[in-house]
Amino acid sequence: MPEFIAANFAWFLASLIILVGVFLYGFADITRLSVGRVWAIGGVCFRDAIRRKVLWVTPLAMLGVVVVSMLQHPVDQPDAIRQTIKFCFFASGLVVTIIALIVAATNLPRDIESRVVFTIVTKPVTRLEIVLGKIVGFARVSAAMLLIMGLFTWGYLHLRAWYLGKQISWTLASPQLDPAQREWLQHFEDEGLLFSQTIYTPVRLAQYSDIQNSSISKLFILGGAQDAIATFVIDRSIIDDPSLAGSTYRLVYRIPYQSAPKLSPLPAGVPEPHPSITTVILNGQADQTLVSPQQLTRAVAGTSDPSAGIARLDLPNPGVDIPTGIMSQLANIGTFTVQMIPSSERYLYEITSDPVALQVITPGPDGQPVVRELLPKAPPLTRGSVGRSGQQLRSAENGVEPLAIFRFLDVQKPRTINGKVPFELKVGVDRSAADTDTGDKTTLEITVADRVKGKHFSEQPVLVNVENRRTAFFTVPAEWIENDDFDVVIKNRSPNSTVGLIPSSVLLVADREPFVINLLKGLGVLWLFSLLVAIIAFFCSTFLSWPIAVVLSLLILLGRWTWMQLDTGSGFGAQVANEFAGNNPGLARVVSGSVDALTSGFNLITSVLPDISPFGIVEQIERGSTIAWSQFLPPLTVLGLFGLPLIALAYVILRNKEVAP
Amino acid sequence: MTAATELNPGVSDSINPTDAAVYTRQLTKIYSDFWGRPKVRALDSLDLTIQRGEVFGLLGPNGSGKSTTIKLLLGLIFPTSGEAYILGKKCGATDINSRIGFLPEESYLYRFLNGEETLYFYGRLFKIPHRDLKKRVPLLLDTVGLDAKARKRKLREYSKGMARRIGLAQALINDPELILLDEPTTGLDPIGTREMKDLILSLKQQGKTVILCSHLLADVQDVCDRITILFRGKRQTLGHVKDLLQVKDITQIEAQGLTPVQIQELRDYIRRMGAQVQITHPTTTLEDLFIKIVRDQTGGVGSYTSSDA
Repeated sequence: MPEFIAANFAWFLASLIILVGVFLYGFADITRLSVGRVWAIGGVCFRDAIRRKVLWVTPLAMLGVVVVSMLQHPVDQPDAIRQTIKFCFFASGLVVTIIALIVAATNLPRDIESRVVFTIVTKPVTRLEIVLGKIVGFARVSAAMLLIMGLFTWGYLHLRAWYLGKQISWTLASPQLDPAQREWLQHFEDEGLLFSQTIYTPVRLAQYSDIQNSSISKLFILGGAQDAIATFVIDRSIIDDPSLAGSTYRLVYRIPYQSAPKLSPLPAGVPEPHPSITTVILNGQADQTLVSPQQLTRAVAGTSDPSAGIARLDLPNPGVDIPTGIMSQLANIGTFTVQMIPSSERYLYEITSDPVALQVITPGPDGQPVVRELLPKAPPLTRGSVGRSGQQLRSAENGVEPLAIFRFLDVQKPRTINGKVPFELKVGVDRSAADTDTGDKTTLEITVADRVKGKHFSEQPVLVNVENRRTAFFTVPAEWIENDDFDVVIKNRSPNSTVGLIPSSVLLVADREPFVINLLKGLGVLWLFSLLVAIIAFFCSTFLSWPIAVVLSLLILLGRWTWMQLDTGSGFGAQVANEFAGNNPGLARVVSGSVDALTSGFNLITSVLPDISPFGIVEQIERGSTIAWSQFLPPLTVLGLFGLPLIALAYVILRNKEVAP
Repeated sequence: MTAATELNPGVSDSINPTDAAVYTRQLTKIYSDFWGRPKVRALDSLDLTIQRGEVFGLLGPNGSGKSTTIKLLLGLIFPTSGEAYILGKKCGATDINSRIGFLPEESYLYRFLNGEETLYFYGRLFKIPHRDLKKRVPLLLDTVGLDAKARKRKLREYSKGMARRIGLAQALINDPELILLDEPTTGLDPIGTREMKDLILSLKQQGKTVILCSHLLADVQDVCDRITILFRGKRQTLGHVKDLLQVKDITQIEAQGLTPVQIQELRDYIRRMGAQVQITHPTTTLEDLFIKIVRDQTGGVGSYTSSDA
C-alpha cells in the first residue's frame, strides 16, 4: 500500500464509502435531493420525540444536579463552583447522549412497525432524504435539550457564583484569616468565580540538577531523586540476521558521576554507598514495564572509586546483559525505552547525549567477539522520580539543586496585567512530619529561561507559597516572556517538603473571555457528540431491532475507549505469559502468542471504531480553560470520518430494505 | 387472439407496458426465512394489465396475494422474479410516486399530528407550495367529510372511520393519476361506504385510474369496471364485472304495475313455451334501505360530516 494512502487510510476508506454509497450508487437520489422534504421529515421526527416526552428528562436532570451540588463537600468556594460546573455538564452530556441514543435507535423500527413508513416511501421521497431527514430531526431534538440544559446551567451557576461570592466576601472580612488563604480568596473576589481563560500548557516537563554556585554547564541527575530515559528503535533483523547468529546483547552505560559537592557526614559505621544504575526496560508506546531489573543479568559492576571525585566508569563498561528471549520480544515490539535509575543521593550522574548503547556481541571467526553498537534515537530525557503526585522535586541538598523545567512552545503574545504575565501553579505537596508540626510553608522559586535569547532571568526569582493540590497564582515580568519558546524553571526552597509535579502543573493564562461563550462552546461540542451517537444508533437500527441497536451502538461508541483503558500495548502477551506461565517456557510461548494474536485482533477492530476522546471538554470548562475554536476540528473530524460513512451505509441498507414488515 | 388478450380478457391487444397504468409479467414474490430458504410463495407469476382510466378490483380471500401485489407495485417490497411497471415506469422508481396516491389497508399515519398538519406534512413531501396547500387542504378535508373541529384534533383521537377519511385525503393530496386503495371501506359506516364509492366513481369520471383491493365483494361489484380474483397467490380469473357475473342461461324480465292476474297469465305463457319460471318481487339492498332511512331523518342531506369518535 502506498505510504500516503496508508498514512491517511481512515480518510480514504471514509471517502470511498461516501463516494460509492452516495455519489455512485445513489447519484439519482442526489440529483433529486430536496431540502424542503428533508426538513419536513426532520420536523415530524422532532415532533415525534417531543410527543414521547423526552424533554421531561431535563427537569429530572436539573433536580439531580441541584441535589448533588447540595450534597457536595467542597474544599472552598472555587472548588464548589468547579464541582457544580462538572455536575451540570455531566448531567447535560448524559441526558442528551441517552436520549439521542434511544430516539435514534427506535425511530425507524417504530415507523416500520407501525407501518407509517408505507405512507412516506410511497411519496416521491428518496431513501437518502429519509436518512438525512431523520438525522436532522435527531439533531433538533439534541439541540432543544442542550438549549434547555444550557439555560439551566447558566442560571444555576450564576446563582451559585453569586452566593459563593458572598461567602468569600464574608470570609475576607474576618481579621483572623490566614494570609495565604486571604491571598487565594482575594484572587476570586477580584476575578470572579465564573471565568474562562485561554491557557497554555507546557509541552514537556523535565528535571535535572545543578551544583550550587557552580559554573559547570553539564546535565546532571541526582541519584535517588531523578532518572533518565533513552528510546531505542530496533527491528527483527537484530535477531533474525544469520550473520548475527549466536549474539549476546548488552546495555552499556557511559555515565560519568561525581560526588555531591557538600556531603553531609554519614552515621558512624555506615559505609559510603557505591554508585550504580538500575535498569528498567519499558514499552516505547505504552510506557509500561516490559523487563524488570531482576530479568537482566549484571554484566560487570561499576568498580571506580567514588572518592576520587569526578570519575568516569571506564571500561570494562558496566552494564547489563539482556537474555536472548527477552531481546526477541523487544525486537517484536520495535520501540522500547531504557530507564536508567541511578542510586544514592550522594552522587550526581552526568547525562551526555549518548549515556547508553545497545551492544550486539557476535563471536568472530578468529574467536574475537565483534561488537556492533546501537545508539538511542534521540538524546535522553531526564525526569524526577515518580511519586504519588507526579515527578518529585526535592529541595537543595548536599550542595545540589534539583530543577524542574517546564518547556513552553509556540506561545502567542499573552495578555499582561500591569506589565506582568499571570500564571497558575498547582502541585502536590508531601511534607515531612517535622514540617507539618512547625506549620512551615512550602515555597517554590520560579524563574524563566528564554530559549530564543538564550537568557535565564534568574536575578530576581519569584517566590510562591503552595498548598497541596490548590491552585496558586503568580506573575512574572512581561519582558521575561517576549519570545514563544521558553522554560519556566522551578526550585523547591522548602527543605522538609517534596513537591509533586505533572506537565500541567504550570499554566500560562494568556487571555480571558466571558464564561457564557465557553459554556456555549461546550454545549456545541456536546451537540456534535450527540450527533455522532444519533448517527451510529440510526445506522444500527436500519438492520437491527431497536434493543440490539442500542447495545451495538454502545459497543461502537465505547469500544475503542474501553480498549484503550485496558492498556494492552505491545508486549502484553509476554506480560500475561510471564504472570501465568512464567515457569514453563513452552506454555509461556503459547500463551504469549495467543494473547498477542487476540490483542492485535481487538486492536484492529477498535482502530476502526470512533475515538470519542476529542469530545471530552468537561474538565477543561470545569477548570475555567477557554475552549479554542480549533478544538472543534477534532470532533468534526471524527464526525466526518465516522458519521458521514455511516450515513452513506445507512442509506445503502435502507435503499435495499423491504420496509413492509 | 393475441397473447395479451388471452392473458387479460377485456383489454385491447394493442396495449404495451408504457401505455398501461399497471403492467406485470410473471410477477412472483417468495418470502424467505432468516437463512434465505423459501418460506411462502405469496404471489405466483402474476400477469396483469390495467388500463388508464379504469376502476380495477383486486379480489381474494385473506392471504391470497392482494396486498403483496400492491406492495410490489409501490416498491415497498421487491419482486423475487418477473417485472412490473406502473404508469410506464419500473416499479420502485421514486419519481413516479408523485403521480400516485396510496391508501393503505389501515391509516398508517403519525398519530400525534392533527388532520390539517398531516395533510401539510404529506403536501410538503410533494413539494407543493405552501400557498397551494392553504387552498387544497381545506378542500380535501371537505371532500372526505372531516369538519372544522375534526381537523384540529390529533389523529390518535380519531375514530376508525375518521382515520380512513384522513388517510384518503393524504392519498389525494397530490391530485394523483393513479390511486391504489387497499380495503378503502374498512371501518366506514354504510353512509361512509357509499360516499367512498361515490368518490371512486367521481375519480373515474375525472379520468383517473383506481385500483381497489378488497374482500367486500359488494363494494367491488358496485364500482369496478374489471376485476381479478387471486387465490393462493395465483390469478384465478380476470375480466369485466358484468361479463363475469352474467348467468347466460337465465333471462330476467322486470316489469312494474302488473296485477296478480296478469302475473299468472305471464307465468302460464312462459310455461307453455317449455321454460321454467319463477316470479318474485325484487328487494332493495340493506345498504340502500339504511341510507334512505338516514337521509329521511336528516331532511334529505346527501352527505354528513364526521367529527365524533
